Amino acid sequence: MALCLLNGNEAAAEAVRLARVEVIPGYPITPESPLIEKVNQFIAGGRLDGTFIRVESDHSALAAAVGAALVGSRTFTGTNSQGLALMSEVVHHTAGLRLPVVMAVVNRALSAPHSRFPDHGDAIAQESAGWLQLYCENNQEVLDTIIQAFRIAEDERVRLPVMVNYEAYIQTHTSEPVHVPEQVVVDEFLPLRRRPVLDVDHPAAVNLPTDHQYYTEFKEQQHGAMLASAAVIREVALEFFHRFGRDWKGTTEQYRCEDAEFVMVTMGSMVSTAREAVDRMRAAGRRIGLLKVRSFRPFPEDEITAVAAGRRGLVVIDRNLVYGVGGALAREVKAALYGVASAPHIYAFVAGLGGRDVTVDDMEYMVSQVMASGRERKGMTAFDFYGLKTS
Amino acid sequence: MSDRLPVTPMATEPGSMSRKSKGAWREQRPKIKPGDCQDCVLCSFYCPEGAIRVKGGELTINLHLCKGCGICANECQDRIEMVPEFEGKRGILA
Repeated sequence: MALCLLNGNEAAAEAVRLARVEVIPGYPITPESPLIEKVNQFIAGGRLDGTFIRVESDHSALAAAVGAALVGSRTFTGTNSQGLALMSEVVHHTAGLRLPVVMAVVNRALSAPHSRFPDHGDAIAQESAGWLQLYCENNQEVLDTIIQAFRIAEDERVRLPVMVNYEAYIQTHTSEPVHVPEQVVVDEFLPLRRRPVLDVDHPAAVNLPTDHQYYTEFKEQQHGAMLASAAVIREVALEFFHRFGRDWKGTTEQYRCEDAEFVMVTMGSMVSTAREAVDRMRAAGRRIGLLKVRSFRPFPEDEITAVAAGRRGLVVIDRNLVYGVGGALAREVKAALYGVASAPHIYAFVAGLGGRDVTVDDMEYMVSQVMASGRERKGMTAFDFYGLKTS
Repeated sequence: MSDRLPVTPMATEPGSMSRKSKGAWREQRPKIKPGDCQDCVLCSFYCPEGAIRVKGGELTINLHLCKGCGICANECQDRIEMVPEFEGKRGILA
């Protein structure tokens, strides 16, 4: 195992190499492009025995990935923001066809107005497409999660595509020390389980017209696989911990939640910031904890209700905005706690849109505001824009 | 139900769609006009449902498979014309 200084894109490319991905279609988009460039360097240098497919759009990139996955290839692609929006049609196809494609989604704000900077709005817009969505807090988690994602996606109980999310610039262009595991250890953890759907000896027609007779039943199967994936994510994280020594827990992680009166809930790069904020507030004697949501799909409802029990409040911080509703994470947390007796108050903030920095100070301020006010703004759509400029 | 449906939505028996009638989709049907056939077989080649057979200038159309798209009549205006499927008395809706 080597300790290297890697940015998020480089960490993702190392994971693609170690996972021995066979087919990588890709279309360049800022700031995800360096990931695909690095993968191509690995192929050109003979370090990855894979095929890169040049395509004319992100829509075609995922369409090519679907074709490769249909014949049983281990397949990967990456994109962000506008590219993901353009892919959307095929994003749904991939999940409906139950193909274990893994895609790096570099979270970048969607246009308009145009922005190259991070928020989760692009992936949240695909929340109902049927992909698993895992969010990474640092570059080590990016590398480790992509390796885990293939195990999860290819598991017989799941057979669904996985988006591995990390944020524009905050992660793609920031270097951190990252442990790059040995190939032999990854090979043991991640054997190639080839499961071709198409086979020239047994012709078949996929994605055929399906009317009201069976459409519901196919959707129920897909939904069941999504629900079943939560246990698989936890299993895979545990086995990964035993082999590699790094514990990413699974679908959520509790940080210093013991005896906490208030628990912050967030995902992505804001998790690593929130850890610092919790440490600082704990040092000042305030009983604050953190729930990291690693898996937004499947949504860890049971773990939300478990962590909520006995708290005074949950402070949910979203780096996305569902217009007319608020943050998607807060919406799901509120739904998870619907009807739960003595559920804590929920304070929702939308922060960091379009790359506005969310610092440790900011988080401390949000929690202080909540603790000082003590009032709950009730209702699904109640939230505050943090740091909104008023003049 | 889940044990009867494949995981990936698919038909494993090639050609199984040909057993399903497309006749009810039609608003117009191809009608063979009298005249000489050049045996060029273009009508048959372009038919997306495989509903047309041509042999020795003899044209047969399988109306169980024909969905009434009219591509054959576009290819061969000499021998095929499209006529309305519904030929009865017109009422409020038709």
